[in-house]
Amino acid sequence: MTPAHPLSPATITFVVVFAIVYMAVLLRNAIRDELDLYDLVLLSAVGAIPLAFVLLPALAEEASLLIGVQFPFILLFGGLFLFAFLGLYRLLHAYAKLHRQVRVLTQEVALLSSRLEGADAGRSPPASQ
Amino acid sequence: MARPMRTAAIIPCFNEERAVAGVVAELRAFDPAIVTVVVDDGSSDATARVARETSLVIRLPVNLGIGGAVQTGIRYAARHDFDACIQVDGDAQHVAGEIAALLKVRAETGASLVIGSRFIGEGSFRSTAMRRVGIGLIASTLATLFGVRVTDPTSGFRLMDRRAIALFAEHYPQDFPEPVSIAVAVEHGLSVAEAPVSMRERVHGTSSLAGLRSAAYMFRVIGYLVLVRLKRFL
Repeated sequence: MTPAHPLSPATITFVVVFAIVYMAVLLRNAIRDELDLYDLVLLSAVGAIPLAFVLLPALAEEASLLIGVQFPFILLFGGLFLFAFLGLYRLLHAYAKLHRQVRVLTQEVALLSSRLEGADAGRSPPASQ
Repeated sequence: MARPMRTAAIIPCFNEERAVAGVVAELRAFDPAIVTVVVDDGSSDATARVARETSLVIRLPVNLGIGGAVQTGIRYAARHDFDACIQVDGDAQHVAGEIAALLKVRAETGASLVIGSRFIGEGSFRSTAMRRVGIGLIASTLATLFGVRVTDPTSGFRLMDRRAIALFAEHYPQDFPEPVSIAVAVEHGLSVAEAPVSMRERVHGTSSLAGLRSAAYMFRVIGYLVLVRLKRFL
């Protein structure tokens, strides 16, 4: 099947170069343990999805027909949004976990500090107050 | 011979240098055996220094909000084997003498969480129409979802027994803790009761339930109550 909107060689070159450079940077960061595997996959989608659409236009047309959207680029942006929201979900999940941990640590630091101050001052424990 | 009940008064404070000494003194005058625990929630003023002259002080290095501050005090009570703890605001709104009303209801009902209510009994408190509507809706939501009837779900004057201390030391809501903690208590099988108390007018600061914020507060509280109820299905 011939794509309804053929892409120019310049567009294809731009997308391919961007995807390769972008994913290489992500891969380097993952190797350095600056990104975990999930983040690597989610962030790579920003390069991989457009790459798939320009290198396999017929497949993109088939997929858009199968899903029922009129233009393949709607599918492309839909896919990008999906991965963006998955990434956002992971970030918020990690944030909530860190928030809980920071609160507990803050409370523990305060309780420990109070205990140490009590010990320094030679204060008797509350049981005997 | 049974040992006397050990009670901690937890006083969460944020920039209450003008009021905190009076709150501690009033509690001591009511019952010298009460251990006062001032939780300074990262104040930028001299709250901790003033309080330290007469009370045990736990100073949080950063501001955690009322939920985090109260839970810090509850954790202290849990670790030091207190039989009960009473939450008292650091702004002197709560009257120490009314602790007797909380203890009386606790003795009569055996409830694990006794809330001091401004809206029952003689000389019932009158607040703004907006606040009354908000508090009424929160109370209705608690009654509908959890079957617990309270008139003053936003009251921060309350008594917790050992069971409540153990529960809240681990599971205490950080957002809107007063009404949501009632739901958490009921969900964990604790009984809740109310005692009629009088409170003073606020001298410093403003209520979080003022103006249009009260509408947002109400909807957010109801949202959190629904979430607590939905935990049954997890």
